[in-house]
Amino acid sequence: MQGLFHVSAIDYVIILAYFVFVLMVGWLLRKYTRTGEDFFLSGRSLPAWITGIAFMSANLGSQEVLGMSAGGAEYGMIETHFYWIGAIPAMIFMGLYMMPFYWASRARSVPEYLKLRFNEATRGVNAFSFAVMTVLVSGIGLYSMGIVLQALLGWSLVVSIIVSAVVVLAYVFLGGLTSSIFTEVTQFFLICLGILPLTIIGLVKFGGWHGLVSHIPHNYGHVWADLGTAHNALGTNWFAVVFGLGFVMGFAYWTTDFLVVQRTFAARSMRAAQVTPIYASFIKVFVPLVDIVVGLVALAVFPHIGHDGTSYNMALPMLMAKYYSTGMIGLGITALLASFMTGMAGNITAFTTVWTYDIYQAYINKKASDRHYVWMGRLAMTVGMILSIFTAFIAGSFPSIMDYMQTLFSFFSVPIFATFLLGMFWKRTTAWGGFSSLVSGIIFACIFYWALPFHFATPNAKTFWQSFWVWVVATAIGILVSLFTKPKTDEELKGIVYGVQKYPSYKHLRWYKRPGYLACISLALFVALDIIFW
Amino acid sequence: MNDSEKPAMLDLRRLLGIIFTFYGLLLGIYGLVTAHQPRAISFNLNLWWGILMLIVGILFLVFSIKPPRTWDPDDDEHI
Repeated sequence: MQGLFHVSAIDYVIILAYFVFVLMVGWLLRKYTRTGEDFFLSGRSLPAWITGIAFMSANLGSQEVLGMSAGGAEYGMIETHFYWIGAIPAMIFMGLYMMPFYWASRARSVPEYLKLRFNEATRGVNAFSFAVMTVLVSGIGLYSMGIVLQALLGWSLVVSIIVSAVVVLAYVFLGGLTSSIFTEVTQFFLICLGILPLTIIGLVKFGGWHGLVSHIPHNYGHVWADLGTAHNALGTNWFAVVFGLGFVMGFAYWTTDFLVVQRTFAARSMRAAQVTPIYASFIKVFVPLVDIVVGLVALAVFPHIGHDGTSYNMALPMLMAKYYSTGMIGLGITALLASFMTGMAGNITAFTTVWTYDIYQAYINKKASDRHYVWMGRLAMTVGMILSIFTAFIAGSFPSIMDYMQTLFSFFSVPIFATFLLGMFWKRTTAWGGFSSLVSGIIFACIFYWALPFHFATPNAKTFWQSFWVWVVATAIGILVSLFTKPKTDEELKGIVYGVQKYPSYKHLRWYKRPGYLACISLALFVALDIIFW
Repeated sequence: MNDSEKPAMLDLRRLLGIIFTFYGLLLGIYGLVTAHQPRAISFNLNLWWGILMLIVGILFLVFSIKPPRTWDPDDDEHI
């Protein structure tokens, strides 16, 4: 079968070099990976620039680059909300206000924090739901990689799924979380170097930003302009975007999803952990340059994209085929392949940690040796990867992978965020208050999704509103139950809750080392960009 | 944790330096030798982007000459 790209020997050399590179990284890391702390937490030894890039890059996986460039071509700059309001405030809040408790608790995972703050039952619900969700997401990543490679290169779906799964498994098996983080950082640079030429060529060709915008429908260049009413591509107004997407969904993902939170746990100090999400926010604001803006360029170059038998999902590959020659094609494919593979690696390592510490150690084998848990982690990786391969074929039966993921995500993640916010910032929240807010949130999400008769213009609109109301219900129930149950003592909450633990002070440091100053700069940048591209 | 028993963490900057220097050289030389161009652009993208990647790679290698600190003195906690 013939793909969209003409791939020649030099392209294969570039792709092969990446495979060799990641396997080499895994091989070199194996001797740094001895204890459970090494394997599951990178020995809590990484500098902030690495964890910061990885924090952002763990999410720049398969669905993002192709999906968001498709979104850019289909809807325009309005998609940027997923990166700006949907991420930046959450990352800053995480770094300044949540990280100190996460870090001071010395929890090894998000479910473990819930155990420390609330009780075993709360941990159990979160651990099981996260483990299931992560394997599903990982399978989706595998599947979407398979279909992309098939369309672009004519590779067999089954062969590319199996080969990349084996390579990913090999390097995370050897190096654990560090392998995953190192390849995420590499992937970030590869994505920039592999895709930025398209952005630059597009902007030069059309005469800068204003030139580009004049070649596409006039409202495609704006982020906020159409949000006064629900008559826009998102199908909803500013309230759902600010509170549903920005406050609830963004915060839920960036502050409680263990896939990204695990990166902060690998940081080598409290300060490094605090600046991790703040560094990430500086990069995050510019990510639209390698996907959404590329989508706008694609729309300007191919005005009939999305019609005449072409798919928006091909926005990025079509541009590559047009502007890249042999050589650059190889680099572009490697960037995409790398983003698929790191997405999978991140999911698998997060799954492994939760399985080993929060399910296996908590319920199956409480008192094994450290060496045994590392062994169990490696076994869980292998089993998780096999489950992902099965899931890959299940994912194929859903029409839109992105919507499917968001649906899943809002069922599990939003209630956890409600629980976290109560637990971290209101010390009166009781163990069963936390548990009931988590469970009632998940149940209400299902009721809202399947049973309530509301009609929404787009799946996005439904997800935003659902997230907001799930948060309201979960918070209300958490408060109500807390008022009727017995609170924990200050002694039990020492170090993990606001009001019991003081925030660390960095007054003795230079400004560029202080989380507070960095957060202000990031916030200013975020506000400025929203105004410029209103 | 006893740092003296553990090797210092592998330097990611060096790894990045190696891969991007390799890619830069490969793409740059290939661009120089073949001067392949897609119809849509008028300059040798492989050559110029190869040079840029080579610079990125060399910068990472230069940064990695100084061994990574395992502990930042500024990270001592002041609570």
